[in-house]
Amino acid sequence: MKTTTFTLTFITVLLTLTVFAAQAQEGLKIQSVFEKYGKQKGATMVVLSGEALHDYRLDKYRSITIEYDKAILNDIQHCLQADKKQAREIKEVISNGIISSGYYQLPAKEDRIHRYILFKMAGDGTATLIYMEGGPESEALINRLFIKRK
Amino acid sequence: MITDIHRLLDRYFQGVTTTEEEKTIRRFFAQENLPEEWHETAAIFRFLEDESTALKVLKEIQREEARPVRRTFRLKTIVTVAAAACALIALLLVLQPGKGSSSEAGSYVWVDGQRITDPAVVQRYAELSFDKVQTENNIITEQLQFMTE
Amino acid sequence: MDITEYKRVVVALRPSMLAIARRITGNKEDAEDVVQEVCLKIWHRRIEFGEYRYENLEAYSMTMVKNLSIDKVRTRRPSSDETALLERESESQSPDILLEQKDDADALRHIIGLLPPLQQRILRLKDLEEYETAEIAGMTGIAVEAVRNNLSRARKQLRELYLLYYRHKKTEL
Repeated sequence: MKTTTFTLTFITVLLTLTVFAAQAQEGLKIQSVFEKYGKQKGATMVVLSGEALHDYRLDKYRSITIEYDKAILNDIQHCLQADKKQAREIKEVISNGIISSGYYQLPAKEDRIHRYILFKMAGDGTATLIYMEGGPESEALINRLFIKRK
Repeated sequence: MITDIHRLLDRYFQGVTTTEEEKTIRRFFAQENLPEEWHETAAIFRFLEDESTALKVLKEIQREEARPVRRTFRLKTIVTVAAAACALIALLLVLQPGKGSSSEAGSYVWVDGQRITDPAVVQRYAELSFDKVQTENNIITEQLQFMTE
Repeated sequence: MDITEYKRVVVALRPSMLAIARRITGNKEDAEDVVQEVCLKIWHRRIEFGEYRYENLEAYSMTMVKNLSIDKVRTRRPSSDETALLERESESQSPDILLEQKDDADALRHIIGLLPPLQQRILRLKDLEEYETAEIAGMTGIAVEAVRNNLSRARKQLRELYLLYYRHKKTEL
């Protein structure tokens, strides 16, 4: 394989240190992904809440794994592109203009609630999107969990 | 037009045609009364055109059928890699029996339009979903490895 | 039959087709496969169906679903009492022989199914689902150049195998 012909992957590790003002935008675009596709055929949507999450300073966990087609994929990509604009930390892999995996930490709501978006496209035609909210202590945990341990 | 089609076909079989060029090829072979020599090639492109058209419609129909379905719930057999991180998330999500139902209140999973509230099942699906977004090692290392292959 | 008519027909027939396929194959996935194949056939043969009334189309579809479902079961379990029973049942059907013939579309679909997995996937994504090459590269996680190479190989293979079928068919006539 000739490395010169590689335009495949860009490594984007933006450690944006600018902290956005407390006016964290309500209503993320990715919420619409859960609403639109969560209950349909080919989709698995997990919604967690309750005391069990509180012990680890997680307040919210919502995930969707969906067998995507062109329309759905475009939709999700647009939502991610929109929401990541306000991210304060981004780790993502973009292949030919398509976000194939991403970790986004969004500005904290009311200074206490940290928000995360995780996304990955698998080779089997499914994509998984996760949205989490947690207290300040959740950041280290989620960062660690994002990277698989062997 | 005819010499054009030869050139286009060459490009097609090299895998380098643009979407527009492929549309041109399909249009050409959709014609009636093509010379005998083109019949075999025409069959291929007519098939591709018809098959993709029909598939689009069928996909549309399946999407529209996505109302909550009377589906028997199927439990996936999940093989989870017992990495330290996974154990952590499992711990995180363990809905201990005997803790009462209040901690499970509000947790559920929708699978193919069917809602499930069984805590153990919800936990498994949660673990599975987190597995799916994990990356090997570290993104940078992963991509550097790939580029130097 | 145009596309709108086709969609109407499929939406109307799908439930009963699925029911029959489900009953015979015993599972949802195989039933969906069978029904999809029959629906594709209906579109490929739409010119012929133009000459028929709707009722014939329905009868043809149900017969086709029955027979393809039996085939599906047969390929799952090569020999058993059950398949012997099924064989007898299928022989007693009186399908429209002409329409039952395997045609070019069936051959091409079958050929695509014979391609190596990656080539098959890429060919489907490009030529049947009409994704762009760059999108396919992103989705499969391989380089654009590799997508083109696989696509080229798949398309050439498809042509070669189809040529064999086509020439064989001609000599039989």
